[in-house]
This record gives sequence, structure tokens and C-alpha cells, in this order.
Amino acid sequence: MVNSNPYLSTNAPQPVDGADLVLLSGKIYTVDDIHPWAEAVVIRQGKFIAVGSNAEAEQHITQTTIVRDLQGAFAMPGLYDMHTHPDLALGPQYSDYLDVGLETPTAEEVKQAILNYANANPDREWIFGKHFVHYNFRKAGIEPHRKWLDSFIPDRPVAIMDRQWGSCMANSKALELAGINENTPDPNNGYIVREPLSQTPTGILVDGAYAMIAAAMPPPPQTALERAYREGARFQSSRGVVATKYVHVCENRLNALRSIDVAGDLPVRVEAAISWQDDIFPVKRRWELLAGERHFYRSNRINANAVKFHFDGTAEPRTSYFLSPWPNEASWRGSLNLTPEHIKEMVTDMDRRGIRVIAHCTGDGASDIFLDAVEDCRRRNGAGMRHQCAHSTLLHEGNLSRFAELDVIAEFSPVGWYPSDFTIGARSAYGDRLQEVFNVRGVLDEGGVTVMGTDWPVSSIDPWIGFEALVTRENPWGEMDGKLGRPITIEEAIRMLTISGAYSMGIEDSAGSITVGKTADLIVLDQNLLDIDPSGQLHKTEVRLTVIDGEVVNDPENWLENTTMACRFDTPAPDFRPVAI
Amino acid sequence: MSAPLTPVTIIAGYLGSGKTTIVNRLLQGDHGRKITVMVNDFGAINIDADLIVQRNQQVMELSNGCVCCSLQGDLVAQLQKLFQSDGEMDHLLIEASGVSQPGRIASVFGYPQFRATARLDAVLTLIDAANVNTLPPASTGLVRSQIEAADIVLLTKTDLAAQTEITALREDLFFPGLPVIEVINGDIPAEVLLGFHREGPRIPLPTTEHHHTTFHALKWSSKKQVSLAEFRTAMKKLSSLLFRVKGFVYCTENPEIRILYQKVGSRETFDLAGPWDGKPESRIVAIAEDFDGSKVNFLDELDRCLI
Repeated sequence: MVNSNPYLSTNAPQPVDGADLVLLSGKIYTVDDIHPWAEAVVIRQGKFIAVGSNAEAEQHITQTTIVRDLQGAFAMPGLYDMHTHPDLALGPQYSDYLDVGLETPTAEEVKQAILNYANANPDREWIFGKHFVHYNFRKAGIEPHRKWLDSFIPDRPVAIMDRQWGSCMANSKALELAGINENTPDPNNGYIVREPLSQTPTGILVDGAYAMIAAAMPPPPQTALERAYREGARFQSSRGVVATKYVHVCENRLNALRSIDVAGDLPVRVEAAISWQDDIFPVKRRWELLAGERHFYRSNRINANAVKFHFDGTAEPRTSYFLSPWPNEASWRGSLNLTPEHIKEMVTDMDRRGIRVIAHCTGDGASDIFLDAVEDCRRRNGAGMRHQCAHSTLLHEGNLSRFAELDVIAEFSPVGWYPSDFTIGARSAYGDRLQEVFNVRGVLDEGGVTVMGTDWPVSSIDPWIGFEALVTRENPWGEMDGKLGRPITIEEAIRMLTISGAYSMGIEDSAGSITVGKTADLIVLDQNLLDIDPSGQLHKTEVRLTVIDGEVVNDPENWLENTTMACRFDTPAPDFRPVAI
Repeated sequence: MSAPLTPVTIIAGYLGSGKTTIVNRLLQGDHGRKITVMVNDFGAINIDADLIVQRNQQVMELSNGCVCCSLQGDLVAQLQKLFQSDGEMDHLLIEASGVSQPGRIASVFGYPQFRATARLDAVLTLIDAANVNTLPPASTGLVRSQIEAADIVLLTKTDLAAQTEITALREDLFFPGLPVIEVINGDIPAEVLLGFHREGPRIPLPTTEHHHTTFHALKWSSKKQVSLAEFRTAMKKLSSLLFRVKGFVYCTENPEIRILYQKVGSRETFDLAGPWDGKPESRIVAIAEDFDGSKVNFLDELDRCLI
């Protein structure tokens, strides 16, 4: 039998004799229970071949080995961000849609902006963007109407969103392309405004109705998706992330990721979760992807063996699904987007295919049903994929132990881990239960595996903010006093962001800690995380080096400049950190 | 014929603009209608104890058949439940939160699930004449969006503002064709607000000694056909003076079918209401503001629509 082990990652450096890279004299926290600390690591062909003292490491140095002295710097395994969306955060702004650029533009200003955009983009069929203001139209005595748009652009589809209402004004051409006419039924969550008697659409589409325009429009240009992922991944890598889950992808998004990957420019390992619903964007070829087409994208860096769906809603519209009524409500418990029966069948079916189910569950009722579905799946299929309960905002006490029992990953998003105007204000609907949110402590105490997802653009993609809040449960910038929920220790938080992440991707045997034989993923930091007071300090950690699969992908201090291991990215990483106040 | 649609009125307006005053008066008023009121701040509703039949934390039933309940998280779900319940309801009134976008609430009544049960009668937006110009800048956009959703504006606390200020407000804030009624202490007839047409030829419309808008009931009828296009133009022209118009139109465009026309402030609907029962005849009633010569204007304008 041919041994396939020598087959190298497409991204790994070519083999040479001896070690490729040796890092000496560091304070290396390995997250390996047997040898928690090391002084040096030796990397060859993308893997750690020795972890230990300087003396042990020096034996592997040959003429071609690159040796760097860490001078006592702290190093640890790379971070795992297990739920985020660079495409949703950056895609729209890179799609170059029309932006009138004024807070309350007049009708005339809207018209001029549309005409300018039309002239500047002759190759784009659709003119889509934001925004107009109903008030200014009424004030000027102009009815927002397809005829108004037709009067200056009759031959190209135009659709413009309004600022306040969740409505959209489309011209006749856009309505025609979207198939909206007097016979089109209204969608359930919105309607088409119509002329009296004739029922002809006026061009104003309210709430759910403007999704029909979105469905008719070309998807965001591939270049926009590619740029979004490229920059998002590059920023993540510059902040120490080596593996991430991009939950919600479609065929176009997978193609964008693949084109970055085949160019060798993807500095993070990505698990991409295919959308089960069309609620964020239309997913063409979903069933083909789930049936097997997803394997086309598989590489050392990418897998699409996951599916994502929204099981319940969120705090603001009070749609999180609870086991008991919402605070200050007689009977309202929130809502589910899919039936419990649907979830059961789906989890079992996906599990059989080796697809991880990532279920958005904010309310304790949603996670309860999801755990029931996994329990049913285990009964039918036996042990299988590790499914992931996304956000896990509020969990029922009785369910905390089931994460370990059923091998389900509890994923938490840091946006609500600390007191802030957003948490206290927008999430005030949770009432007294706000103190129980994101019960990482509770799941860990019951032996469960927990991971973090930054959930950009809901919260910042910089993992260090949530990292700090995990161990302090305080506002990292001191904007608001107090703590929210129960903290975990720094050691627990490090595990959560490293080996537990690897566990949630099913790669804990080959990654997630600095252990001989595992892939060489490592970050060097500017401070010793176990030595500092984390309050207000941990999130300021700077990453001085990021290595994945033995390849240096982030080298802001140019340690490897002019060597065979020089970082392939020669421009600074984009900065998506929140602006300091 | 299917059950009549429950008319829905949304009362909007910034914090302190007088919404609760109006709601309190409507709930206790002698209008003979069973109004269900959904309020945002249940605690602020102050009803004479003698009138209350039953009360819990979220619902209060009054002896005149009116019900007041608190507005909860999911409006669509709450409305569905309300329309499915057996309770009698002649009219639904929703008091929007002072910091909400009433347009979004109004949009819900366009959703298909409410077509068979409810009809949006009007969005009434209250503007505090004395304070609207002193609001923080961040709230200006909100107030504008409340005006933008309005079918009728109720200008409140006009006794605390100078006439010049009121005139300036009318010019700066409001739209052509948008009726504006000045109201002090919630003193406005339910007929105008909610469109209750009592039996009898005359609508009792009070005038008070304050500088108030005075209301007139108008009637027009003709056995000749009108041009619907002309009719729409005429209504548009008089829009700011007409608070409510209702009636059947006998038109050249659709002579076989009765067209039911309803207009509340700037909101108009035309519905096909089946074939004529007997001889076709346009019959229109309206509540209008008593502006110089508006009565004559209304009749003249409609006469001009005749073919």
C-alpha cells in the first residue's frame, strides 16, 4: 500500500532536510496537558517535530534551518473563531451599490445620485442602493412611485431602499425583471403597494416584498465576496486566528473562498456552513452542495461539511424561543422558524452524511429542542458529527449537562458577555435573565465543550475583545461598570479559543495545541496572558507572529524577511478593530 | 357578504405629545362603540374606577364595552390572537410608542394575513405645537418619520403656542394635502377621529371657545356618471380640508359596479363593492374643516367631475 502521509498540503513549504523553522527561548504555553510549557519548538513540513527545551530543539538545526530567538516572548496555539461572517460585514460595501451619501436627501438629490451612478456604471444592469426619505418626497408633493423613477430611467432596473420603513421603491423595469405585476400575490411578511382598482403595483414594496427584488438581482459580484473573505481572513490571521467557521455560505461564497485558497492566499482554516434557508441570501444548488458537490471545495484549508440555520429569532424583536413566557408577557414564548419535527429529521439526515449542523439557538426553548433532536439522532445513528448550538444565549439549567452527554458544542458570542449600552439597552427585553446570558461557566462545569464565535458584524471580529470578557465579564473599555454573568479562568478561556475550537471542527487530534505530530499552528504575543491582570488589558494583546501549517502568514515585525519562509503577504493587514474611544 | 373589516386607527406622536389624553377620553367617551385599545404604557391609562369591570396586569375591561390592553413584543402574533378571539370589537386603536415608527405598524395591516379581518383606517400623528421645535436634534428625524406616516396630524397644545408659531409649523413641517387639526386637551369628536357615523342627517360637531378647528358635515349626490380620474383630482385638491369622505361613486370607467370610496385624511381607498342595487347614484358624505368657502368648494368640485 502506498503511504499517503508524504503528500503535503498545497500550502506547506517544500521539504528540505532537517527542520524548516526553529523558535528558541520562548515562554510557550502549549495547551498540551502532558507538557504545558515549552522553551522551543521545531517545525518541519508543516508539523511540530519537537517541542521542549532549547537543547532538544537545537539538535534539529541544519544549514537550511531558519532559527529565531523569541527572547522570552509568550507563544501559544493559534485561535479558533467558530462563528463569523466577513461576507455579510464587508460584502455590501464592496459591491459598489449606489449610496446617495446624504442623511435626508431631497427627491432631486436622490434623482441626481441615481443618474450619476447610472452614468458611472454603464456596464451594471441594476441600479440598486440606498436611500430615499418618504418625508422629503411628501413634503415636495412627489409621490414615491415607479413612474417617478421611470421618468428619468425607463430602460434599466432601479431599486432604492428608504431610510426608515423597510420599504423599497422600484421602477417598472425592476418590477418586470422581478416578475412583480398585478397578479403577483403578496408575500406573508409584507406587501406590494397597488393602484386602486387596477391592482397595478405602484413600485413601493413593503417589508418582505422587497426580497423579490433582491432575488431578481444578480448576486453580489464575485469580486466583492472574494475581497470580503480575503480581507476578513487576513485581519483574523493578523489577530492570531488560525481557524474559523464562516457560517452561511452559498455556491458563490464557496467559489470565492476557493479562488483565494487555490491562490494560496487563505491564511486560516475555514469550515464553511451551507445555509439551510434562503433567509439571508438565496442559496442556489443547496441540495447538490449538501449531496456531495461540497467536496469540490475541500482542501487542507477549506471544508464545507456543515450546514447552518436559524432555529429561533433574537432578543430585540422578542423572537428568541423560550421554555417559559418572555419577561413581562402572559404567554408569548418567542417563535421557531422550523418545526421540531423538521429539525429532528434534518439533524439525523445531515449527521448520516457527515455534515455538522450549526443551529442558531438564542432562547432556552430552541436549544432544548435542538438537543432533543441530537439525542434522537444519536439513538438512530450512534455516535457521529459534533453538532453545534450557535450563540446559546440563554440555556436551561437542566440542559447544561446534555452538551457533554450528547457531544454537542456550546458556542457563545461575546457581544453580550459584558455590560454595554447594547447589552443593557437593546437586550433589555431579557429582563432579569440578562444575568444568566452566555452561561459558559455552567456548560464547562458540566464537562461540556465550549467555543467562541465573534459573529461579525453583530460584534467585532477581533477575537481578543471576547477573550478578555470571558475571564472578566466586564466592559473591556471601562465604558460601563459591573459584571454580567460568571467568568471562567484564563486557562479555561485559552482552551476554549484553541483546542476546543479544534474539537468543534473534529481536528483535535491534529491541531489545537503545540504537540509533536500536530500541525504547526502557533502565535507569538507581546504579553504573557497568564501573567497579566486581564481587565482592560487582555484585549490589547498584539500578535507578533502567526504560523499555520508551519507557514508564516503574519509577520508584522519582519522576523522572516528575506528568507525562504518570508510571509507571502507583503502589505499590512486591514484593520477592522473597533475604533478606540 | 363577508364580515365587515375591523377599522384600525394608529395614534402616534413623540413622548408627551398627548396620546394618552386622547386614549383616555376615547375609552371613557359616550360613543356607543366597543373600542379595543392597545396601549404602550398600560400604567399611564387612568380610568374612572366606576367604569372598570375587570382588570389584570395586561387587560382592562370597561362597562361601556371598551377593552384596553398592553401592547406586547410581537405585534403580528398579538394581533392574530386578538382577531381570533371571540370578544366584540367595533374598532381597534393602537397607541404607538413615542419613539416608534408608526409607518412600520401601519405596514403590518397590509400583510395578507390581516386582509380578511382588519382595515387600516388612519394613522393619526400628534405633534406638540408648543415643544416640537425644542426637541433634541436626534429626535427630529423620528418626528419627521411620524409625520411621514400620518394621514391626519393632530396639532396639540396649541393654546401654549403663539399663532405665528403655529402658522410657521404648518408651513415647515407638514405636507401639501395633509389635514392638520388643532386639538387642546384631547377635545376632538370621536366622529372625526374614528369615523363613527351616527344615525341622523347631521353629525353633531361641537365648536368650543378655544381657537379650534370647526367641523362640518357635507353631502353630495348625483345620478349622473362622474369621471373617476376627475374625481381623484378633485379629492386631491381638497385633501387638506377633508378629514373623512365616504360613499359610493357611479363612474364612467366602471358604470356597472359600485365603487366604494373612503378617504381618511390623506389615505384613500377605492374598492369594488358589487353591482348597483336599484338605480346607480353617486352618494358622498364628508367631514370637512370650515375654511372660507370650503363647503361650496367641495360641492362645486364634485359637480365638475360629472360627465
